[in-house]
Amino acid sequence: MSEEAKKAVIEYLEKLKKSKVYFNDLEKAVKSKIPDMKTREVKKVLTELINEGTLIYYSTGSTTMYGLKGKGITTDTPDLEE
Amino acid sequence: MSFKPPGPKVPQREIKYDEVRIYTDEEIHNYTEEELKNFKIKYDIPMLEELEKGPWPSFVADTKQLALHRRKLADDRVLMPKECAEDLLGQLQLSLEHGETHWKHGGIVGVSGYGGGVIGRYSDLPERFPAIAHFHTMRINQPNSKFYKTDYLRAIADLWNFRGSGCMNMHGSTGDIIFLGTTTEQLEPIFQEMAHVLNQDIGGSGSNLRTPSCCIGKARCEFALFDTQEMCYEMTMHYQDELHRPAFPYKFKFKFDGCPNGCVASIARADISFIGTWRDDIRIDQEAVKAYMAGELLPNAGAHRGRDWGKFDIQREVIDRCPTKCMALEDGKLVINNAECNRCMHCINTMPRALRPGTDTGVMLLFGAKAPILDGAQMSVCLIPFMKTEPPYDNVKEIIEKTFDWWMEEGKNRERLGELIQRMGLPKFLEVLGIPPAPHMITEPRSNPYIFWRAEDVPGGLTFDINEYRTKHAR
Repeated sequence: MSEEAKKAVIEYLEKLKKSKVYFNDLEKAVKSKIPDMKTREVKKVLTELINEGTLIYYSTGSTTMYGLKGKGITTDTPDLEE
Repeated sequence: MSFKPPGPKVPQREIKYDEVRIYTDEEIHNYTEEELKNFKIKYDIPMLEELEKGPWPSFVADTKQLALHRRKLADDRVLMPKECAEDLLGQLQLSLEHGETHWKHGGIVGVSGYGGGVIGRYSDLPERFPAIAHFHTMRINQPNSKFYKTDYLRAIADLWNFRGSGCMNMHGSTGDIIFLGTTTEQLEPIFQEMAHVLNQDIGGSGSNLRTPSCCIGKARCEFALFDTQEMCYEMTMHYQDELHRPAFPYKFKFKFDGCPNGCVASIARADISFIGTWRDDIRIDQEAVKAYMAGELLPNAGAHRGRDWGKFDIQREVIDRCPTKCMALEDGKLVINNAECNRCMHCINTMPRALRPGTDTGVMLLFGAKAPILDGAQMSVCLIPFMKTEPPYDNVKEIIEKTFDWWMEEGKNRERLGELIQRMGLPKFLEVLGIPPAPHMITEPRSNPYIFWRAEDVPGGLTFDINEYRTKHAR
């Protein structure tokens, strides 16, 4: 189930025009494919993707978002357009 | 939602400054007062220097000291650009001239595995102020009640001077130690040093549980009604995943006040405020009451002495000021209708030798505070007026987890718990927590007892036919 969820996250982010999304956007993307998956399990999947280096956190300081590594935002050029 | 039980308590490691120090005494005290007096930074900062002329200690003067100190250190003794303090002042002067900030904030900076504790900050004039092109903030989880040994403070000051700007804020609003300004490549080494050498975790930021904070509690305060430090530690350890891996709609804060005096202002800032309380009677020592009335004991333990306030008047200064009018003097004795006491603490604070909280103590839980800068604070609402608290606080955790689950399920992005409660209605939140409504949850129960009843809650049911209603009442 975890691999399927990871695939759902990556596919969702690849198709998206935006470079970063909120946790609940990814949660909805996963639950659209795996309706029974619990929020905490989605979080575990996202943490695995972060640890693998596939996803990255983006933080404004007050809010945290997720993005696909290499898509749109990099470490040295903060993207503050959104 | 399921949470892992915490592991065994890790014994605290004692930090010996001499074992971890980076700088010699000569390097730390590397300039004279005379040198400081004659020191000029590389920018003209007339508007900032105006700030130095006021009666209070100025951050401009502090930053100049730091600039001189860093300029006199050898090049290989700092890993953050030496001129960062000078560039900081230069950019601030320019911001004052332009009337707008030259900082950009946010970004991908962080440390491995953590989604909080580091806030990216960048100059939008990196060519003009290259030493602060990167100037990231790190939040460090402060020790409970902010107890320090000087060895520890010296150790973090050395580390931050070496790998960061040397600018520190003790403490931020949430309570963390704030390290102001370092480069992206120094973040991970600082984190590793903090974690593995100084035994110190970083704090929360972003859509995380923020660093929990507590008052000084039983360590030094006679009013503390539960062990704030124990509970704060336990919740910090138990909710590590929530602290470091963001999955909430927005920030979430716990704060622990040992008594209703609220020294960490949990009621004004925390999504869940934990405030010590009692459910028996206020203890009264009538002899001490008489001593206050006779002027033998100073009110407020002498905190307001030094000015002539006149003779202590128990009627005017205590009884008439009771917000619920639950006190009176009868035959020279102070009597309290404890059922009406709303824990304002005024009488206890005024006559601490005569009045003390009861002995059957616990914690009250309030929900939904937030303190936005522009709108002003929204106070939390007391939904659970009393709970017994014992480690490992399973009864409290059950409430917390119900709250997390509901907020994560229903909360919109950037919506605090208090806003969600307002949007969905307090009765909905009570249903989530599984507690019945009570008059104390309403601001003015006697003048505004308005409540929306659901059909199933009304004995005998509720029948309402909108069509029949419309025959008598036009839309």
